[in-house]
Amino acid sequence: MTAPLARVCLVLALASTLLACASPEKARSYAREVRKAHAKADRAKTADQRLAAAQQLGVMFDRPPQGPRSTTSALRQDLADRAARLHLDLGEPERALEWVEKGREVDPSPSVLQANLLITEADSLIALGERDRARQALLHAVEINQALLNVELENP
Amino acid sequence: MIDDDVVEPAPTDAEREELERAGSLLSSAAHFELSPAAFARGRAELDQLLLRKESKHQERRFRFRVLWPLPAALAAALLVGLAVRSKAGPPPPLGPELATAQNHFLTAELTGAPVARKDLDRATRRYRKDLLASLEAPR
Repeated sequence: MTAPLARVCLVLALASTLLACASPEKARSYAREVRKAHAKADRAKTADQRLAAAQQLGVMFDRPPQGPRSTTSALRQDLADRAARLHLDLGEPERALEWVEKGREVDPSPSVLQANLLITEADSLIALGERDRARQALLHAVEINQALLNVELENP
Repeated sequence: MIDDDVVEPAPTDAEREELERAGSLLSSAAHFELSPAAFARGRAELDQLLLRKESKHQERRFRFRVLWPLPAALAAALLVGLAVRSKAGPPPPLGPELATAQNHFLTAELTGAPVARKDLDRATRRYRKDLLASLEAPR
């Protein structure tokens, strides 16, 4: 009974090793694509260009990430935040809020990118005239920010 | 039909010597033959020896069959652990510069002071650059 189990383990190990060996090149390629999407957003001046840039950021957000999970989660949150910002600039705060939500769902743990998303959420809510909720979002961002700065002070 | 009249010639000296040697062999044969009891005892000992050897061999085979998956599974677990660890990778940079820019931005936003959005955008861009660089760095 243990022999088939060992065989399964060996196959899994082999597959994992192959994946681990293949991942650095895939991660580099993923990083290049993310960089391209941000470059497009940097160049976007007109409404059409901004919309196209937001769509490109969205495509990269949905693409299966390659590389260490903690880093790719941060990158995806940043992609969502930037897409939300572009929609906000285009006068689409509801769409912006959708992207904020998507970004926050990637990794709910406190981070500088969670705080950025909360700031974008607050700006979107202000655009929708919901000042109280906007303030709550900002206060939540302050909480996260304070916690991160405390960690930074304790472990410089 | 045996002809009684035919007289066998007397054996030659050489033949007699040969016959005597055979006779002496026959008379001593009993000394070399095992009694049935001794034969049975010997057979039982032999069987026991053979059985012990077989059971030892079987035990070794059983032990190998049972134990070989353990080191294999251990090695597999180790490899999977390494692969998972490489997938998890090092934590992303904390982004102290971005945290500081956020702090200034949030303080300004909540106190009504002039908001420096550009500083926050610049710090976010630098943090993004660090994240992408860490992903592109050889591991």
